[in-house]
Amino acid sequence: MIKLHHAPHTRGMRVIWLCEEMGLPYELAPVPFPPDDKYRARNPIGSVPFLEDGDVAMNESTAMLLYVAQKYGPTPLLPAPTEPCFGRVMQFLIFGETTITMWINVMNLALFFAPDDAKQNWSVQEAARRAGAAIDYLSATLGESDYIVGDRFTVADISCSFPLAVWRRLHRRPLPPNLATYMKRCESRDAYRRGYDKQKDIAPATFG
Amino acid sequence: MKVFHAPGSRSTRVLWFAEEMGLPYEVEAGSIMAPSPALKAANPAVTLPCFIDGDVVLTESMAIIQYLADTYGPTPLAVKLGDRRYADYLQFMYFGEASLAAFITPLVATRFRAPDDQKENFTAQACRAMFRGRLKVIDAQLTKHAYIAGDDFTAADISIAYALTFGSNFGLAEVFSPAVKDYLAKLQARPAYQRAAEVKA
Repeated sequence: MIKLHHAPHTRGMRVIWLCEEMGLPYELAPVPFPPDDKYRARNPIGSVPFLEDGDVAMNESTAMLLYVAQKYGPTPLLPAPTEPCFGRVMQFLIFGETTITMWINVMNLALFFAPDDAKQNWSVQEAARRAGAAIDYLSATLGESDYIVGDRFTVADISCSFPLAVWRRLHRRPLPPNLATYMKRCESRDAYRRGYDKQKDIAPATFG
Repeated sequence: MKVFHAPGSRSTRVLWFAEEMGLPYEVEAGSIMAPSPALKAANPAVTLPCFIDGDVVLTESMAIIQYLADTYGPTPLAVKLGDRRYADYLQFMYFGEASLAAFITPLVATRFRAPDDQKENFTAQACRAMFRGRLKVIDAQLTKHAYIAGDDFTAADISIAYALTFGSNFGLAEVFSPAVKDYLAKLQARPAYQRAAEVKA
């Protein structure tokens, strides 16, 4: 069975959400904060989430989404390569982590770890501008659609909604109106609610 | 297929993979600082790479590689479900971008565009420290295998090698272990990489 080392408000929620959408069983394990030597022996960078499944060990959440969807699929959340929307799903699965979250990471690092006089340094302001531009691009490409590929909910939506949640809740920044509605739509899905409730009390809240 | 490319950018990954697969491609010069109308029209976010294949437009380098492997493969460079290397393959394909290259881009932005008294700010130092910390995972993997996902070269190596090259172009090679240095040199010696790196856009 999939074992997910997780802390609330981390990318682990992506994997929980997918498992719930697919109806898969999974075990949640709290991660000590800061991570102890025992945890680091299994995941040398001490990051969260960390997935174990038999001999498999992974610490990249978007790779976990593809792994779970393929290993335990097929699932409508991951189109086959022969479907016309395959390219777009891959694009936004990755975009949600790399292009948006890359800049939000910079904001997170400063928020949690920088001394007061560095919390709004040039790089943080630049990161906020670049993250905002990536979010505007997502807003434009979503348009009036329910989900990233029309009315079909996919792993691309699971990937992209994570940084949008961090942007809004942690950094208290507004989302474009269509993305605010989109987030409500995504987070009101039964699978999200079930997964959220299962994980919310497992450990002290951490970000990163 | 057409790739908007600039030397040193993530479009190098796409050219390298296409070269490894022997796929024909057309290159158009892409500048982020002075984008052409064609680039702006294809990719309003003005990032590189931008890849066009018929109706398909993609701007994430790792998504493009996956698309090429699935559309124009099969290729041994893309590990399939059922192969025991599959999880490692996915893990490192993404790790190269999300956990390595992602810390270099903010560092480079700060180096080139921040005012002089900000070039070594908290963020630049934190990004460098995060990158160095993440390299532990690469070192651990290289003690087990010759390549990042096993004994053979795969697209996951292209992802990691780009991030390492990007880092070394901006002064991070000094934190590489001997094993990482040897690994990168081996990858950069591949003829397909050499051809991709020589493409002038």
